[in-house]
Amino acid sequence: MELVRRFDERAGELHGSGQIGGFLHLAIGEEALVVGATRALEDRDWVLSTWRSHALALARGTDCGRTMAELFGRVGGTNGGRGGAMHLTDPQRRFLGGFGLVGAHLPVAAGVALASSHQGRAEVTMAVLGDGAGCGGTLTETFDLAAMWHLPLVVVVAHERRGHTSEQDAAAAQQTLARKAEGHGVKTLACDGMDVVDTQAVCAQAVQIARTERRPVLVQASVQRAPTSGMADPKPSGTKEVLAAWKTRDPLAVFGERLVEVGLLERADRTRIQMTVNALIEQAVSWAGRCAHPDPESLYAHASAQPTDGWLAVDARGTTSPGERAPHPREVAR
Amino acid sequence: MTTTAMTYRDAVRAALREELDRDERVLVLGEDVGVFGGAFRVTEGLLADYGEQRIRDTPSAERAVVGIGAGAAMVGLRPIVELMTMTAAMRAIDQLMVSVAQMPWATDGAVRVPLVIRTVQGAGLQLGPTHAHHLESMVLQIPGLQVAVPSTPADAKGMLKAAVRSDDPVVVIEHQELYDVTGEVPDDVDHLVPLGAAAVRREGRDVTLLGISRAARTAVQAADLLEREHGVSAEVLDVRSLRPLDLDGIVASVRRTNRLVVVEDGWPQAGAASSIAALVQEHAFDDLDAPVLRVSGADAPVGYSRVLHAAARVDARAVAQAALAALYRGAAPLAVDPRRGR
Repeated sequence: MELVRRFDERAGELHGSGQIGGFLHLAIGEEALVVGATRALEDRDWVLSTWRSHALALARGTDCGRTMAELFGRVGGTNGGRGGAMHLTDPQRRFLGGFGLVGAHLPVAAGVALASSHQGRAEVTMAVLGDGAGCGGTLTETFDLAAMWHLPLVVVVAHERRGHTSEQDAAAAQQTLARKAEGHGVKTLACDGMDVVDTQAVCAQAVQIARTERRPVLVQASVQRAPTSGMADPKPSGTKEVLAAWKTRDPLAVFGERLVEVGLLERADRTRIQMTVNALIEQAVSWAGRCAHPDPESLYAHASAQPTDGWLAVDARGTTSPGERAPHPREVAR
Repeated sequence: MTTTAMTYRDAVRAALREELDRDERVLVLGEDVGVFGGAFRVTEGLLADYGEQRIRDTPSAERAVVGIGAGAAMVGLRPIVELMTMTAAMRAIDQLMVSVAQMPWATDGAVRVPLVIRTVQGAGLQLGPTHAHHLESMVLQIPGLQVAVPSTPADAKGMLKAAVRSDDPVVVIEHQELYDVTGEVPDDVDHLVPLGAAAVRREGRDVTLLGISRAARTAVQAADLLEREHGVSAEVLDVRSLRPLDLDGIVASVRRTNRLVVVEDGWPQAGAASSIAALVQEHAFDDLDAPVLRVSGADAPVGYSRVLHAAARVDARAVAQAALAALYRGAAPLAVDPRRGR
């Protein structure tokens, strides 16, 4: 949780100074959800996320340096700099990616679950998404199919009662995504997404149900992201009062205090963890900064998995310039 | 190699059966593919022979179905998703773009999506404006998607089989009006037609007619008409796949005939024919003796009325007229007529 938090704070600074471009969606306040949910999974399970993907990748164990390098858009990044913060992917850790379009990853997750189920593997697939996705049709389409086909799918909803920047209740006829899921035959559970212990316990229960009963389960995790403002992830309600109120609920601070109170952690240990994490992140920043930018010549790499005789890309930036092509020796008749 | 005469529909079904037999990882998903046997009867009998685990009926929920196909393909299956019409496929265009086409690129090749989308286009059944579309250009725009437009039974079988065996996502666009067309189809279970090679359907000297999808057959009819009525020798190329595109083959033909007419049933603006016309003038300008002409469907919806329906469609006579214009033997019908639409 410390790593996810500190990474986000540092990334936010680097976004401010221009070293990280594009959109940077921070997960400050969602650390308990992200860590609790992924800790409920086994190594063989799959996970897919929203655009808030670097938090998920870190929680899944992706190397901090490769994660930072992706945010820097460098070849050392998880996606070779092609995806950025919203699209981190680490198939080796069975993290199939951040998806930049609202709710787009839910059917993909269902497809992964279908493959596991079809091939008799006891894997579970988890999709983490925000409640704002609940108003899109793709979700209900997917719930129907996942329930009909008994797919081992766990959907963890960051229930914030917000859709992008609007109060979600004002936009949705029904109150919660959980109620919609129930209507489509998906079992639902709820947890306190600000509490890592509760989140892990409830998600583990959901994973167990999905794995043994072969059915989709939705976990509604109540969260409140930090009301930060600033260009990295603007949130209009970031007033001082709101921020002060949020700080009393800060999942990292609350959990840290709780560990000290019950005697599982000394205050000095907490500081040591923070120092270790800071060192790790500075190392990642330094390594990412030294990674090369992608070669422009690599633009067309992976245009196809297999070689083909035909033209896959037809624009003038391809390997052949207009007017410079030698007459093709091959006759058309074949 | 032995062949059997069969319809385009039966050829597609034979490809599905052979690939289902060959590879356990292949499964078929789509609206009405199971109990009903497919809206165009292509998947008839598959449910009985392969069971509901491999032949899966879905609701009309194209975005979810394409997303599910993509996810299943990423982790080891070879799904074939049938989208009942190209019109319905438009509902899934974001999934096709983001979860299917771009995924291999965006993950620097770490994730492959060997998904096949089978879909159907056409406008010949007098179904009115919501069921009469040729939309290959919509998917042709998207880098990362391969697009096959087979016009013969042999190609319908061989290209679908090649698509299933490919590690790349492929959209195979069948054609409503071709399902009953009969042709010789190789019996070999490994008969594959690789994408990226145009086929010469008819050799000729004076002008090249390049057909896309069903329009390749229209082009052959036009070539017959040109020979019979005007003594013109037209070469007919069937593009067969739009991405990869056999630009080398097209340019080679243009070098022989020095004139090109591209024929498509789809709308003219930003269409496949426009794209090919632009490429040919970039790559073979000095070999051209006339502007590249396009013959496209009208820049208007296809109506239900027989009269409006016929007015919107491409026929052999329009193609022949364009070929004569390319030979400076008549006025060209403008593909995008600026005087229309007022």
